[in-house]
Amino acid sequence: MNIETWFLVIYFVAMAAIGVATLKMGNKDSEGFLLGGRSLGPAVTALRLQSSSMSGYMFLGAGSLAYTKGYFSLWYAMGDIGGGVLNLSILGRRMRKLSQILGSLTSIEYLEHRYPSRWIRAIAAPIAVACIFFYVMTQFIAGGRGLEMVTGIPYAWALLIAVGVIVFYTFLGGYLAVAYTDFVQAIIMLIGMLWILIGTMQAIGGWTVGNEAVGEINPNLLTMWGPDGIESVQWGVIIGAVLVFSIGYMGWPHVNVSHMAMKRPSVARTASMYATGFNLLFIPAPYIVGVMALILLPTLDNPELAVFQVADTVLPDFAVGIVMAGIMAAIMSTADALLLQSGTIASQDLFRRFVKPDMTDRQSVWISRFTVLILAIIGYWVAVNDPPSVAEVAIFATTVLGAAFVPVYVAAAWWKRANVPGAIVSMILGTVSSVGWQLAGLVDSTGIDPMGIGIVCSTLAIIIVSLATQRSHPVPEHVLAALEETEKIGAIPAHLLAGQNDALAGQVPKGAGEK
Amino acid sequence: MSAELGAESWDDLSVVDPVRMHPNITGAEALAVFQRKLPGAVAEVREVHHPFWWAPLRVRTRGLLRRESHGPGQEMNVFVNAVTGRAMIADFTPVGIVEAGEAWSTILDEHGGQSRLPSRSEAERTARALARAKVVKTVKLGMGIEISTADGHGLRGVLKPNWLVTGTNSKHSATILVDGLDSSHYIVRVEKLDRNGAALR
Repeated sequence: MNIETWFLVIYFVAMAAIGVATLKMGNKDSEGFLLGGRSLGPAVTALRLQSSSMSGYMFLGAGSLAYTKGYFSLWYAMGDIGGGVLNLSILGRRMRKLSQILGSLTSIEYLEHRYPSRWIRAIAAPIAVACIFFYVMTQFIAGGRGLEMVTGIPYAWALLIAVGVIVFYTFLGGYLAVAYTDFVQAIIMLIGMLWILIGTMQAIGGWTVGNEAVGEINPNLLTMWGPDGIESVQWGVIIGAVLVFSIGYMGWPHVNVSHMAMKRPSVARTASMYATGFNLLFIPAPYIVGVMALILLPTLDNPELAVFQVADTVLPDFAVGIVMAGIMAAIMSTADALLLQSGTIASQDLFRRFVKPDMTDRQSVWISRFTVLILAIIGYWVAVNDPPSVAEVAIFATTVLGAAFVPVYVAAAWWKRANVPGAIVSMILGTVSSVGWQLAGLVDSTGIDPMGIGIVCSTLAIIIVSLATQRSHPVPEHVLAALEETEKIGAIPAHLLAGQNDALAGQVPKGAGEK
Repeated sequence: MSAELGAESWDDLSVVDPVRMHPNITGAEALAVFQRKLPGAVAEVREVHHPFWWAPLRVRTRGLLRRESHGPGQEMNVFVNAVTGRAMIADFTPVGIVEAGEAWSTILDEHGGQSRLPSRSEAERTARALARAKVVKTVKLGMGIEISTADGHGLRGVLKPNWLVTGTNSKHSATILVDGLDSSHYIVRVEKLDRNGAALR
């Protein structure tokens, strides 16, 4: 076994150990399993948010984009750097407080409580599960490919190992395990990426020298207009690219659940500082390394491997192992957050809501675990037999999630007049427009990204339909009271809490349960 | 009344001068909580009391190398549910009418038949453990912790007020317990009704 593989084995064992360690801490009841008992501080909240939204894209996709398009790719980086602070400042504090007042455990349940109608959940849950499943499958494939490259073992076995480790610790500890492993993984990702960047700069003799060399290949690569210059710029695509990674991930249920798990609403402010710091250090690095790969590896067959191949070239063997662990960290942290979210939606939003309302917390936890296992098996089966293109599926899934959910999440916390019909039409129109735009091939002919068209449609829908149906479907009094309370700073009055106080179960007088 | 409850004698569970607290929440407010859950419901509201052991504790901390405690320390009112044994730290000092010991015994007796009640010594251990856990979370590693009763006496009894609300609307019949102090609630029972108002099986 080579030294790179040893590092990966140590990494896998450490992540599994965290899962086991959190087994007793976080899964005693649903709130523990699903939200870590609402106990997470700012550092864990921020880094979990970032590592679970960055995914393998930052190591594979970002490097590829930079390798093929030069500094044009920084449009994506710009959106990504601001994304964390935007998400935490716009949604963080309000979503944490509102979800507690409304007694919501999942991000889809939160939508139903804010827009009280079973149709909200019936529409939102399948959209979320479908997109999340596609996205998690891409993470499996990326994980399997990465492991195959480092260890040399066949893809099918590499994939099985990657999926097995992810499922193992998600299965064991629930949200707390995911949150803490994500936190550790974010730190590993950061160290790995910065190490590659420093190694790259040393190898090429500095950034200025590198830029001059890239300019000799194609001067347009040094501009933000792409390899063909400003004449070929499609502004619709640029706007879409910035939107996907800045405001887009405010619509991702698996990312937004982080807000609900914060210890206090005020954690959001500190967490946004941590997130910005992490983003500034981490995000530009893979793009710069991707551009510099043009000098170090001018004849690369697969641009997606740019960052890893550069690491292999400029770093010693043991460092490649650590960096590879960083890449696996990015992939696995996203995959486990997605898997847990799918399990949550299945148990809480579908099974408990529509099939067995009286199921116990213990049953709910087991439904979540069973769903995680089933999705992993199906994902593995598809990924091993007919693996689709990672980048295309990942971007498509995130686009649909963003288009469907951003306006309903933002309006839920900020606009008192957003009502049930507005939310339903917004989610449906956001999904249909973005999927239709993509499938009809309108991106190339119009130069407009499906994210852009989807966001515009779903935003207009929630505004127009909500205003038009205010009389027939007014926002309920208790939701308005909750929204007013959400605007204030301070403890939530108990009479506003819609969720029941389980501590009172021990104060029920004898015979009170009889009719 | 049974002479023995678990390992302790009944005398161990008796208290002198228990405090019957007044509810902060009115019956009408409890009814409003119920009607928020079951819109349009007609309901009956009944004040009930639940027995708690009340442990007024003083917690003092000291440095690892210091032998003597310093400063007055902090006071905590820990309530231990006299039926379930679960403890909580109250952010108030209980006030109300001082009752005869029989009032406490009667309420406790209602619960005595259904399960083993925690003894006085168990309740005191639970209260001290909770106070210690609270302090350990906020002090430096290695700090010594000294816990004593704040007024020099042992545990007292408190009867905490709640509202038991039972009612129906056109679709459901339910019983909800509303906390008499902060108006949080717990759904004790809920049944779906058919068109004739009978519970669906």
